[in-house]
Amino acid sequence: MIEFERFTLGNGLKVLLHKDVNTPMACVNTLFDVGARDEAETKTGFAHLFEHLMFGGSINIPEFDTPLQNAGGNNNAFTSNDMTNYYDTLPANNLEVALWLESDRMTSLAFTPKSLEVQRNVVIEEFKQRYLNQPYGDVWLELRPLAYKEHPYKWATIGKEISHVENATMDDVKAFFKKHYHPSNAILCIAGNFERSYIEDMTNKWYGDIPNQLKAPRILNVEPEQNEYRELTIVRAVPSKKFYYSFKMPARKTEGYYTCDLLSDIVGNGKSSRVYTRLKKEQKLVTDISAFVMGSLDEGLLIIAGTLEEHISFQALDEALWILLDEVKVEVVSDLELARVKNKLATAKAFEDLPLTQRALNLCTFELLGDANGINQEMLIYEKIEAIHLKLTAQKIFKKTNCSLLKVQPK
Amino acid sequence: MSVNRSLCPVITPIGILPLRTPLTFDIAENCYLYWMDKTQSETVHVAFHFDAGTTTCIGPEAVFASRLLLSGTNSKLQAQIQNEIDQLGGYVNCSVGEENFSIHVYTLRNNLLPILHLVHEAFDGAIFPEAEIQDLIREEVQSFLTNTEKVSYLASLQFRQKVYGNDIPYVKNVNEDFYKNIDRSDLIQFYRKQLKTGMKRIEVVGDLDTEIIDEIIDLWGAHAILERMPVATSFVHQPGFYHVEKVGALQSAIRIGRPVLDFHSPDSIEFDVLNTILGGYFGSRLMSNIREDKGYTYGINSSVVNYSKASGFQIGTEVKDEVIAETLSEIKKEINRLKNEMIDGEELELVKNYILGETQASIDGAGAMLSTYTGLLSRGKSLEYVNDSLDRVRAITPAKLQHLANQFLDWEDFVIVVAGATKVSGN
Repeated sequence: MIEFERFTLGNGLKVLLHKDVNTPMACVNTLFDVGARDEAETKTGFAHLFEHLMFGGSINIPEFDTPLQNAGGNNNAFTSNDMTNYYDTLPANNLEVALWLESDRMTSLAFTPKSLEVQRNVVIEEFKQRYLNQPYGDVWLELRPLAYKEHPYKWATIGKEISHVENATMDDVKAFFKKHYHPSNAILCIAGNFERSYIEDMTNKWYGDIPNQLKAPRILNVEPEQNEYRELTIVRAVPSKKFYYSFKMPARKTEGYYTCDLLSDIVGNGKSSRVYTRLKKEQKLVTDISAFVMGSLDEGLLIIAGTLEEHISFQALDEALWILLDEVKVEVVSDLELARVKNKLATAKAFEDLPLTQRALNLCTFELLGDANGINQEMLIYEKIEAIHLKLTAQKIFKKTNCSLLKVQPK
Repeated sequence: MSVNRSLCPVITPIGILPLRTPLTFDIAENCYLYWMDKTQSETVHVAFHFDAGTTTCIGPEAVFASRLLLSGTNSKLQAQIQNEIDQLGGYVNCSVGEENFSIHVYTLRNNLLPILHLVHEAFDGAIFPEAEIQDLIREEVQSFLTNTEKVSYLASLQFRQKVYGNDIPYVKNVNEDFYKNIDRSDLIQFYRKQLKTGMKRIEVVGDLDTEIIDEIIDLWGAHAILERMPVATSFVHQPGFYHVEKVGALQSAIRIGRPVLDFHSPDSIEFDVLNTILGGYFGSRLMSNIREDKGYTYGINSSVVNYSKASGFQIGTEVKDEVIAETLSEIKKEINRLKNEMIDGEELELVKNYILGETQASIDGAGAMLSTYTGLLSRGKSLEYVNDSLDRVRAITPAKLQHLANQFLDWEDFVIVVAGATKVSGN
């Protein structure tokens, strides 16, 4: 059970307090309800570029990192298609330094031309280092537009193409900030050994006077139901053939999400999973293979990905994989197998929640989904799932017309 | 209520850090169990550490042993072992490095003992079936070939070969045959000598009864260490400029460094501070200059690699080809600044505070505290070293740092490796 308290400031900022009496550290996690899905198709990569700019100085503080490091703290951030998250960890008695820094950059950034110029270059190098100059690094750039035709999930957080980031102007950046970076679009979680009254005082002191602004409605292109099989082969300078089968699956908030997650575990999580035991160990078609869900807030993807053995054809794998998936659609998973994936999940979730930063992030994420207490209810949802649910879900998901396959062929 | 946003709130300096010693149990001579209890969690982590690593074999035996430890016994196949562990919700993985080899078990408390029995049965009776070895060879070769597509891998491989020279094989000459030529009997010999009678400690983090600890010792005690492996006390490096060609690469990877004074040297803490200033944190001189001012790279850092009795220092980054020469010259400039100018008080204060904060964070939680404790113990230090070293950090002077920079950061003494498509010269 992860305890927390919740209150909302006058300007709409949601605050969560997670009290942990056993740590001398504090974590300040700020989640902004903006991700790459909120970008215009002609200006992609902005949410992520913006994450970089958030470290380039704010309205009253020239440098973000210096005071935090002086307070013995550390910080980082990430951007996904759904959200942008910032966190600071520091000794608990210096909590106020983090609140000062975070509240100032929520008020306004410095928006210096130099910062924009430099971070554009840094992000372009990041694009190359992580996506273009790595073997198989661009598969997600190719897979997304194959699986999504309308929804903004069709581009990756780094952007659809480098030119969007290269052409970002100061006006673009300021407009993005104004629209997405304000109290009612944020969720703040403070974790550490603190009393509620102290946190109420401190958050009112530092965040209370940030002007209130209405949360902009989110109107995203709706992805039409997929009813065709899609396949794309890309040829790259890589040593082995890789494959990415992606199947549309329900959004994060729905119960169907959890069933799909368990289904992906049955099919391909770990060395006792079906694809591993059958396609790798028995049939020796692949050297590695696994299944997982992307965890997206809107309609997501269940992926089965792996690497072919040297002399095996894509077709041989395709036939064997569909035989395996067809079985899950007609046979009911045994109680033993279902218990196995649930037991593994229970262990994984318990370990996941050990670090303070992870608890603070997860509380914010569940609050974004509607209720921070979801963190304590998630396992109950998984436990209620029965074998018949998995079979019915498999019938809906594992259809050719719901599948997009990306193949990477060595040059 | 209006606040003055231009003023940083008062910062409280970090004082003496509270430390917690684990409970210690004797297993045999030179072999102990360390236990952190009262974790207020259902989770249990048990780690078995062996006096083994990639330096205790010629080929890839250590890596293969780590991947195949649960791959079958005379009575159970790999699939059956894995299935039984998974059924109990357990996670088992092995980690291997130059001087370390460990088995980690993660589980919820109620399944701990059955899982430990399963893992022990698989470990104790491991036969390393030939078919499993052949499967792994194909995996390792594929993964090696994928790695050779990465400029970062190519640069690091060459860099390690030029820096970590020793009679003990800290660096291996890796190619496809390195994996293909593994011999099952060598693997079994490695397992018998280094693992079956090579366990140097067990670490337990979990809310448990003492009887459980006794049972763990009964179960695993027979594997206590008999003979210590030799470790490097120094490295011989080959300074110079090396280019590794990678046709078609979009960026080049740079590695610069040399062996430096080790953990036991009187100035090792001070050198760590020097490294932090140069490239050991986000606000470091290299990051501030090469990323945050020039935008040449996504990241650049420097680090000290500590083996048990010898250490290395390295700078690493990946940059666009147009600015390789500029990057090298800026790195050189930053190093010369450390040698020629005293660090100013404000920057030094910041770095000290940053290190104190990082140290406090690094011992937060029962697991982190235990790793710190056993890490120090294996180097012959007690837990008091944590606070003693912080006192030394607080006391460091600009003159001392400048002296160390002059002692260890001569450009001519560095191994410099650039891997990428564009051939550049060393100057």
